[in-house]
This record gives sequence, structure tokens and C-alpha cells, in this order.
Amino acid sequence: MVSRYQKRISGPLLDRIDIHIEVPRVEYEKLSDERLGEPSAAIRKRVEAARFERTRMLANANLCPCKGGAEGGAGPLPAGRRSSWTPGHGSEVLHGIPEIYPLALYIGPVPLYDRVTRNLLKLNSGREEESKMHAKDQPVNIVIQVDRLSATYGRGANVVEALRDVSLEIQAGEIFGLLGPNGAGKTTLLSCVEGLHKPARGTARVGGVDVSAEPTAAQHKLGIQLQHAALLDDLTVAELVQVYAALYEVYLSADQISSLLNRFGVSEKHNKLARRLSGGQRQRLALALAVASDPEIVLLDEPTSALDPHARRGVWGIIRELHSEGRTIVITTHAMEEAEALCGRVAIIDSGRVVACDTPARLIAGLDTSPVLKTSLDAPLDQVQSLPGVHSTHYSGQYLEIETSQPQATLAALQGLALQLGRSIGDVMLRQPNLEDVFLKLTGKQLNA
Amino acid sequence: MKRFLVLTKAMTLMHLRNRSTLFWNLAFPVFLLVIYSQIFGTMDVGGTGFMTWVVPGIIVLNILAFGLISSGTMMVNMREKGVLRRLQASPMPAGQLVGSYLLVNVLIALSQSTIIVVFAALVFKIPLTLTGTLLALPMMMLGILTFVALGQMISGVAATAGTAVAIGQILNFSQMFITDMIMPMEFMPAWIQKVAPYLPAYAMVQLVRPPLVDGNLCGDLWLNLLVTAGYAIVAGLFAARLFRWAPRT
Repeated sequence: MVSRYQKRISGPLLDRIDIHIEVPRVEYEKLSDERLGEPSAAIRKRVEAARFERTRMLANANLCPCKGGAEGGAGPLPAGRRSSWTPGHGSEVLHGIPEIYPLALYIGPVPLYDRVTRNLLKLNSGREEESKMHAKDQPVNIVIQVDRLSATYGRGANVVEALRDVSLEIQAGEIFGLLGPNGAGKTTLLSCVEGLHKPARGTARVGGVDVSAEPTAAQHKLGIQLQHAALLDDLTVAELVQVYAALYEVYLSADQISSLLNRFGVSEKHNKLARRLSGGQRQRLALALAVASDPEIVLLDEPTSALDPHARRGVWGIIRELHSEGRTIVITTHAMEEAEALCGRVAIIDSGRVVACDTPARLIAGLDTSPVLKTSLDAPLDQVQSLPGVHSTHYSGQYLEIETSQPQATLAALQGLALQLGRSIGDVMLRQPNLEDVFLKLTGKQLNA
Repeated sequence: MKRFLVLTKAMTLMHLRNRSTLFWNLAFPVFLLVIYSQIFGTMDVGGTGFMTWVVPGIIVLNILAFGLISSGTMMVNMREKGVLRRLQASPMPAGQLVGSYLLVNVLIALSQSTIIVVFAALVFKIPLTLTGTLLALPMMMLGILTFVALGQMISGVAATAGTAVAIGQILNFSQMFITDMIMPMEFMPAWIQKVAPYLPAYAMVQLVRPPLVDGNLCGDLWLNLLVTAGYAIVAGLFAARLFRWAPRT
């Protein structure tokens, strides 16, 4: 945890510390193109938090962004000065100079610079930073490889084919999602990778090691959380961490256990029996147990399905944190928001087959559908059709449905039209195409029936 | 090695914290001892005082109950909760896991037996000799392993913890009174006297009693050793064959 940051600071990246955060496609678009409107307050907060974090890391390493110049690097502080960083909100000021540095925001493997910072950099250096897409230069490293995997349950006449000819490649350092309805085979796929289920055909490799041939070696590299978080109820939280880490031959000291529990927000339950934890705490403990052995690859089976929305976002935050430490994370989910919010790439699985595998943005772009504006306004269709950005429009019940490629512009014009007609706009709903639409198009079924 | 010890320590703690089984395992024998001392305290069985005669029987009773009921239940619980599945996915070898589990069971059964012996020696003034205790120890170990193996066989057969307890209780109670443990064989009808010697509890009592009562080894040593070991081996094989990491779906 701390060691990974330090590695980055003292290595070849000494003069460059980038923080990558991932945002839903819609917000990303807004951040890159002002015409699409202001990014939501939540996203702005996260961008600020990321900036904050970067400044803190620099301060802790006694580096100063002001010394790095316009490229946003960092250099040692002037002699005799110490960084005067204090916690706060908004832009941080380090000994009198407002810091400016590039922040890479991306979905999938392509980073782009924040437009605000980009503009400031242009002012400072007059150079275009956009050509520096450094992630493209790095070679792609495959950590999990599934090759034509088929898995069955049952025998004889009752054989059920859980997986049919599944092939996937999961790259190092990405958050990879397996999205599909219940019973699609996501858990079976993870079971085959974890060595719990013997596939009928095909291979699964973890870090180059064949899971069927050398299960122990493969399992050593994995941190896992099973779908039904199995906790030993009669052990305390601290003892559980110790046991789960020891299974992987990692022996944690009391301090390490404390800091791990602290990180996952269950430290006040340190000496409590596991049976006394609430649902959300159990889930966070299960996550902590999955990473207790400090694995490079983490497999999480439906990590948030049993949680309320608030707890869900907490777990998403933890997953992003784990990802920022350089771990590869594979998540199973049947919730489209989770796949869109967390995953760099998503494999859509239905009835044991992978029907698509790409970044959420590209999957949705491949749909070729426009956002739909739905409103209760009584207006002639031909007038609505002529509004800016409108592809098509029709009445569905009492609602006017408008397919438009520029929802904001259309909405503004719609208000003008309403004013002109002397009528009022009732409900307004804007529906962006999402992964559920992708699933429906590819399989003909609803993702969540 | 270190991970084996960590797991053993954890499972021991789990067992000890499960207060209900611990209570039954200790309270029941002690309770029996007290009641029996009131009823039969003055009686004699084949030349020895009743209490001296019955204490080894109580020890075997305790081991019987522990092996058939308690020891299997923890495994079934872990299987039902999905913990065994999680352990299967970890790089810990199955052999170490089973070995650790057996060690925990043996340690707990031995300590329970020790507590009963000490209690009996202090309260009922049972005459114990050093040689006798030392001779009884390996017999008790064999008995513990036999009944734990039987318990594991039950846990392999049973689908849920409830079923495992039920089967264990049936086997427990069916042997409790008819195998010369706490009720002398002379009082049993002829047909029971014919059948009982083939039961594992009977063989075990014959092995454990003589060392604790008068410091000698059992008369039919090899026969009883064979019977007990036979049960242990067969049960062990079945248990290994029936072992499942996850509940049957």
C-alpha cells in the first residue's frame, strides 16, 4: 500500500506523478467538451480529491510541483524550505505558488488531459500536451488468459453447459468487468480461473501458469472474494485477517493488520467476533480479506450486490483505490451502473458465451443510438422534428419521445417552442444509451429481467 | 509449517468459543458422575468400587459424544457457510487442512478427558497410578481418532449440520447404555451381550478401563485393538471418499 506509492516516487517516475481516475463516459465527455455542459458536482469533487492527493504525495516526498515546469513534473524544494501543505479544499498552494499539473483522466487504456489544466498549460508554455499519451507506449501485459474454456455441471442426462468456448485476455492493471444476468456463467468462469472447477475443455492461465496443471502456483497470485462472503463467525476480525493472509504464506504483524482494517473502515471492530458485523461491514471485511495477502490480481464476485446505494459507493471507492495501487481487478456484476462506473473494459456474458468485450464507451458508441429526451409537452411533431439535433420524434402514450444527438441544445430549443406555443413542459427525462441497451441489442434479452 | 500452526490455532479458538457444545461435552459427563455417585456410590462392580469402575466409561462416553457430534459439526458448518470452498481456492494443501483439523479435535478431546479424570480423582478419590494413566493415554488417543473418523464419515453423509447432529446423536445414544460404559454388562439381556462386543464403544471401554482401574492392560488386548482400529480405518476411508468442499447442490 504505502510501498507502491514510494516505488513510483523514487523510480524513473521521480519527476512525474500522475493520478488516474476513471469516470463514467457521460461525465468524461463533458469534461472534454464544454458544449456538453458542466460535469456533475460529484465528478468535480473527485477531480479535486485527486489533485489534492497528488499534492499530498508530492509534499510527503518533499517534492514541489512548481519546480517541474509546465509539463507538470516536480522537483526538489528550494534549499531551506519545507512544503507548507495543509489540508483543505480547492486548489492547494505550496509556498506561495498555485500548483498546476496534468491530471490524466481516462476510460480504458487511453488517457487524455483535463481540459482546464490543458488550457492553463497552453497559457504557460504554449505547447500542446495532448500528444503525450504515454499509456499507449507501454507494452500490454496479459495477466489472465482464458482460452476456449468450456465448463459443465452435472453428469449424464443432467449435464448443464455453464460456459461455452469462452476466450478472454485480461491485462495487467485494469479493472475488468464480467457483466451478465444471473446464471450467465460469470461465477463459473471465475471458479475455473480460481481452480475450484475443472473445465471440460480449454485452459485458464493466471500470470502464465496453467490453473489445471499447477493450481497452487496460480492460486498464490490471486486474491479472491466469493459470491457468498464466507466468514468464520467464531473468529475475531483481526484473527480472520491473520488466517486468510497465512493461507497464502503471508504473515502479517499486528500493525499491518490494524492498518489494513483501518483502510477498509472496520478497525473499530478489530476484536469483535465476525458474527457481530453488519452487512456492509461484512462486505468490507470480505474485501479486506481478499487483499490481505497483497495479491497482484483480485477477483471479486458480485462485491456490491447485497448493499444499499451508499455502501455500494463506498465499496466502489475502495476498489478504485486498490486499482490505483497497480492491482488488476476483475469484477462480476449484473448491474450496468457498476460496470460503467468502475470498469475499464467489460465482457458481456450471456448463457455461457462472451457476446462482446470492449470498453463501455466503445460498446455504447457501437450501438449507434442517440440519447432520448422524454417530455410531456403538447406540440406538433413537425415543429419538434425541426429543433436542433433531433433525429426522430414520436408520441408514446402521453409522452413526447425525441431522439437527439444534442440533448442540451434540443432542450433549450424545446423550451423556446413551448413558450412560443404558450404551453408548459411537464416532466423531462433524458435517457442516455447504456450497457443495458447494448445487452438488449446483442442478446435480445433484458439484462435485469 | 507456520501456516499450519496459524490455522490450527484459529480452529482451536473457534471450537472453544462455541460455548454450547463445550458445555454439553463437559457438563453432561460431570452431571452423570454426580448423579451416579448418589445412586450407585456404594455399589461394587466385579471387585472395584462403582465410581472407579464408571469413570473410564464416562471418559469414553465423552469421547464418543465429542467424536460423533461435535467434531463433525464444525466441518459441516464450514462447508455450509462456504468457508471450505474459500479454503479450497487458497494455496493451502488439503492434507494440511485435514491434518490441522484432526489435531485440533485430538487436542480438545484429550483436554476434556483430562479434565474429567482430574475432577474424578479429586472429588471421588479414584485411585490412579502413573503407569495406569500412561497406558491409558494411547488407548484414549486411538479412541479419539476412531470416533473423530466416524464423525467425519457422518459429516460426509449428512447434507446439513442439523442432520449431522441427528445422526451423531442416534449413534451416540444407541451405544451409550449397552456397551458396558456406564451400565455394567451383567445387567443387559442376553442378546445385547452377544451384539455389544462388536461395537466400537465396547472395544474402546475394554481398552481404557483396565489401565485406569488397576494399572494393567486389557485382557483381550489384540482383539479389542483390532476392532477399534478396524472401525477407524474403514471410517477414515469413507470419510476421505465422501469429503466435499461445497454442499451438494
